[in-house]
Amino acid sequence: MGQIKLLLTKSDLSSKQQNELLAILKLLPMAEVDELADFLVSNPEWIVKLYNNYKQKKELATSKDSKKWQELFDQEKIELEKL
Amino acid sequence: MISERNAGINPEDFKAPIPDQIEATVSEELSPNPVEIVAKETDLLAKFRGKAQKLAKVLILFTSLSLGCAEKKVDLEKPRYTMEDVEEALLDNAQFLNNARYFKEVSGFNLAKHIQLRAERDPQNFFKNAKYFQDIPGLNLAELVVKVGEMDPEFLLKNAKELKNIPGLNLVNEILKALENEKLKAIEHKYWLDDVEKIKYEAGLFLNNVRYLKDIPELNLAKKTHEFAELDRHNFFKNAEYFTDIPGFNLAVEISLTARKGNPDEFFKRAVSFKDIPGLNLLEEILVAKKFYPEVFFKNAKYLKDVPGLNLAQEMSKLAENEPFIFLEYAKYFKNIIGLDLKFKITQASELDPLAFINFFQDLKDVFSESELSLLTEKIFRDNPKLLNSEKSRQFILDIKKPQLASTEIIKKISNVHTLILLNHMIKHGLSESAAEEIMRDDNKFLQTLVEIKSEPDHIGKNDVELALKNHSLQEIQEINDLHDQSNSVRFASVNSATPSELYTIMVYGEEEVFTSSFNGLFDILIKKMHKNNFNGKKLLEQVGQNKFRIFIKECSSFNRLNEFLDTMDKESAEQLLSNIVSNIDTAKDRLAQATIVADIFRNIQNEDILKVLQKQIKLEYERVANSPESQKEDKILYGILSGMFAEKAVVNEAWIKEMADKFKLENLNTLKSSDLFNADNTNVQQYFFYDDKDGHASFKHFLDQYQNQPDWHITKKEHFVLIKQEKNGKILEIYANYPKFQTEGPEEIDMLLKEKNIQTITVVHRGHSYHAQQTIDRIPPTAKIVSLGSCGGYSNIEQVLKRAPKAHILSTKGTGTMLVNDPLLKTLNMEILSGKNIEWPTFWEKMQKKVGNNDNFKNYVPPHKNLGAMFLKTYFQELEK
Repeated sequence: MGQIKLLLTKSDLSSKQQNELLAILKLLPMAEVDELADFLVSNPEWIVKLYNNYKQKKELATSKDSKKWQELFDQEKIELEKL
Repeated sequence: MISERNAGINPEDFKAPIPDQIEATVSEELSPNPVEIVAKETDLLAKFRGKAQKLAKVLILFTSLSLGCAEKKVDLEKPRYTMEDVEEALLDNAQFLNNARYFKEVSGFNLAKHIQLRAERDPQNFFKNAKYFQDIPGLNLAELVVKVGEMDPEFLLKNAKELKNIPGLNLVNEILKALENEKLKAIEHKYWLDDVEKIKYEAGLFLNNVRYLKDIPELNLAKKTHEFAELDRHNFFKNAEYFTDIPGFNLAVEISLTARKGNPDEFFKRAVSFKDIPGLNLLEEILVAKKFYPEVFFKNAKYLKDVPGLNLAQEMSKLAENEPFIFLEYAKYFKNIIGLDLKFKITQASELDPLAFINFFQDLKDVFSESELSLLTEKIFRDNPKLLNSEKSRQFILDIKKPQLASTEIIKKISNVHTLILLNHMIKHGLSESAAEEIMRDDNKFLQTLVEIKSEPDHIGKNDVELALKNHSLQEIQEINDLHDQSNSVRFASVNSATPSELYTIMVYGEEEVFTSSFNGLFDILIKKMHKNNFNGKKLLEQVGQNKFRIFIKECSSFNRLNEFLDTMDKESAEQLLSNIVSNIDTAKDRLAQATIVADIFRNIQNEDILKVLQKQIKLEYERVANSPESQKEDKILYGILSGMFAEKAVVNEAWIKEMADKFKLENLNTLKSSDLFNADNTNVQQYFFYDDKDGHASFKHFLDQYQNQPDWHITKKEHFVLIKQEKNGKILEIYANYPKFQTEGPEEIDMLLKEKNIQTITVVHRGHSYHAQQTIDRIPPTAKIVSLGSCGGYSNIEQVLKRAPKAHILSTKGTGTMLVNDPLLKTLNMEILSGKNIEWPTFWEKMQKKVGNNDNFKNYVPPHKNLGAMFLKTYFQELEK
């Protein structure tokens, strides 16, 4: 988790946002966190992308708009395909 | 790895426990089909592999969390863990324990056995997950918790909340056992520590973990925290922020109690963080702790810079005057204290305690330039030549290569350093070292020379000379006092050959201890010698350089000998002397002390001619300061109050004196209300301070005899003090008096006891010689309403008493009091207090006059309403505040 923390502090996220994202990532199994950290080292732009993704999902969770969910998943797919 | 067991993505990968702090971020409102939404995303992203796959898992976790189905809210399929997953998990204790609950249904795996094994290797993760292990076949969870808890008590405490509902586990018992074990471990392994230090381990473990124990009602957290706070102040203050919401625990009181006991080091260090604790008067606590622990205060001053309302520089400055040694010890750390004139304060402290200057000389190099420090050294040695008695100190002066003062050249050449007390005469009058030795061999000549030196303005060696004169005079007075039952020829034989100046010196420097008969005997001899030598009062005062002339006049007026003294000189000189009493008080270095002496003189004077001179002059002085552009407001107040004191015996300028009396109203000290004399629980608490010397023991015995075997008075004897008590008309009077031989332990124990009972001392009685007075004064609480000082009612003491207890009524004596008056007087006062009536001092004093007036000493006692010195100071401070 230490490496992730370090990466977050170097990102454009505010301290509050960093803490928020860190708290969520802590829910991943340790091994996955390590792998994610390795990924983020070479793709730091994904830190903000991940944060925004979570924020959008939180907003959608209350909107109950399945169309918007679909749009978001499509967007996720496009992003993952770029990798 | 477990997460890689499937080629694709399984939402169950994210079925991890949600920590408390995350729960709040998880939406409580579910989408209509959260499971469908997650499934949709899972399907869409299932095709990805490699790093995209890993990211996809994270994104699905986000979806699950935002929809609130990451844990319990959505009944997803149970995970299908295999033996392969378990084996991988077993590689890491933490990984295994964190996931063990999911392995319950893995066939062929003895989960209970492995949990037991791993629990001992990783107690922290075992305790954290124990609540999930309740239904694991073959696992006696309560037993395992006990076992692991014994191995690692700290983690047991830290995770106590998680262990609350484990069947068969007596959690409170285990917590108490864990604490006890910590102490036993310290006893076993840390044999070099003392018992208190060992117990601290138990206290430390508890205090560091109180925050995790709050949800366990059976554990009396408030009581335990209180008990341990005293044992381990460090960890109490360190964790104080976690004690704010412990039911039944008054953090403000506890901080106050703990800060005042022992060393408040941690309190000062963390004081700023206590600024918002409800009910805690932080500023007051700091000032109290500062008073009792000046060294700790200075040591930690840097941590107090941001305490709201605390004028740190001012507090340090004030304390430095009373504690110059400690101030100099830490002075090098004060360079960054805003508002503190460090060089000036160091110079002042060095003059007050030259030995401390020598001691911390090296540290001062950080503050002064070489030349500045050299000059300060020369001045300190010039004023305190006795310092050269030590070879180490002497080296300081020998090391000065380029002296800036003439005195240094002489000091460097002297071989008999004892002669340096006469340095003034060596420098100014060419006295040789051998001639100085000659003088010092003769006690009388030595005193005479000291008196000569003292009479010179700006004389050299002033501190040593002043001290030598005081010691010599007090010793002389005590010897004369002790011979009170001998004939005058025997009693005063030691001063037969003394000159008038020497007699005068003995009388003024021995004021605090002088008996009436001793003063009168000395005065008789003085007058006789003055007549014999055709020597008048004017010449005498000139000869002593007017040194302490106001004290002499005060003594003469107190013992009713002023007219005799004034009669030794012509009318003009006498009037001049009387005028001088009230002239230029504002320019004196110790102006308040001088003004207090003058107030005391006013009390004694009834002679109309003398009053006329004083009253005329004081008006001139008031007008002088009122019209002078350089004068301060304080000077006007000082003269205004003194002038108003003549209101009842004005013989000239009556209207103006009345105007002054109206303008600067003296506080009415005739009455002390009964309601002010009792705490909320109707107790009047008194503290008597006795000291461990011959007189102290005699005085204590006489005091106790007043109450022993007396109906209604109950005496409880403790190890270090005695408690005397009476209840009457619903009022309770308690006297706490230390045994003389426990002059330190007794008052400390009493102090702690009163603090714990949360009651305040109302009456303070000093029963000792003047040199013990400071110890009593240091313990006077702000709530004191009556303070009996005995013979120690001089300016300095009164000022200190009033600063500590502004509402105190002060009882004192002129010269030494006697237990034959003290005890009946104080006991009668106690009966008045118990009656529940107001104390009317004039009436009470008349009553005492009838009771003990036949004792000659009674006339030397000064009741509060006649103590003009105290009244002056009270009014002065009040006026200043306006």
